[in-house]
Amino acid sequence: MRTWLFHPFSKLAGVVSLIIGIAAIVTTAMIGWWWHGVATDGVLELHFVATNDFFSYLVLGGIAWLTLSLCLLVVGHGLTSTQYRIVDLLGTQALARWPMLLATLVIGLPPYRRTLQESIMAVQSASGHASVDMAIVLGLSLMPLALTVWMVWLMYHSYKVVFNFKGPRGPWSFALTLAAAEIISKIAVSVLSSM
Amino acid sequence: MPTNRTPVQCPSCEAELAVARLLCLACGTQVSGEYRLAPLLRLSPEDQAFVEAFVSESGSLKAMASRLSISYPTVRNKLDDIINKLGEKP
Repeated sequence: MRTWLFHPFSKLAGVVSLIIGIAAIVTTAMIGWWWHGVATDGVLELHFVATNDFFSYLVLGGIAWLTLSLCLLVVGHGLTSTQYRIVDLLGTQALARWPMLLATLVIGLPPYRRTLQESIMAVQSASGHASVDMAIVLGLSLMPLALTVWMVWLMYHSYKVVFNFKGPRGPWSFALTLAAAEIISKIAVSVLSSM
Repeated sequence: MPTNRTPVQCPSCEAELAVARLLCLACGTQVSGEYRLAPLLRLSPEDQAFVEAFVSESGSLKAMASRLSISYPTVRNKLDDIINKLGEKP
């Protein structure tokens, strides 16, 4: 069980992970669209967005997946000496995003969403019991935050397994690439939304 | 005849072991000297088992992944590690 939660790619990769991963990304987009406005608008992000176009949710999910995958492919190719398959990277990176499916489910729940939005508005307007509202916002953010940390761990595990990194080179190159991919994905989302 | 695997590591200091004496199974003649083990014999029993399985699967990484119930890149990484060990100098 622990292997499947934290080291799944030592057991699963390739086309199977690609199919399951893409299914998870599409399902995340469908749930986000169905819950009226929860989308992965960046490699690491999940926000409320103001669109009802299902295709937009799908494109945002695709951008989040492919931006990091392509960045890791470029960096990993330059640093590794092993023979790797692109399908392993694309598949495991797609599957690594499945915690976002759970996060979308949680955030989209009407009571969760309503409480979170009301608390955020109360904190922003500094009305009422700001400290209580702040505690509510922080408390409600914990689960999506934990799911995001889990997703990042899976992304790193995918990168490490596919390119067979050992030692500090893997974590450092992953962290820098993740930061760069996050910026690139935000730029891509911004450019697309302005079109 | 015993079929135990050849020990490759000194149980005391963990350095590499070499063969000091050989025996002719037909006439009992013994030859003494210092003979290094072949590279494959110097691998750990686990790695030797992997190589034997890899050869019996005709060198197919996919077949190995299926046989060991692990992913293709994990098999590839295991093989890379063994290749590196075989290339190591004593």
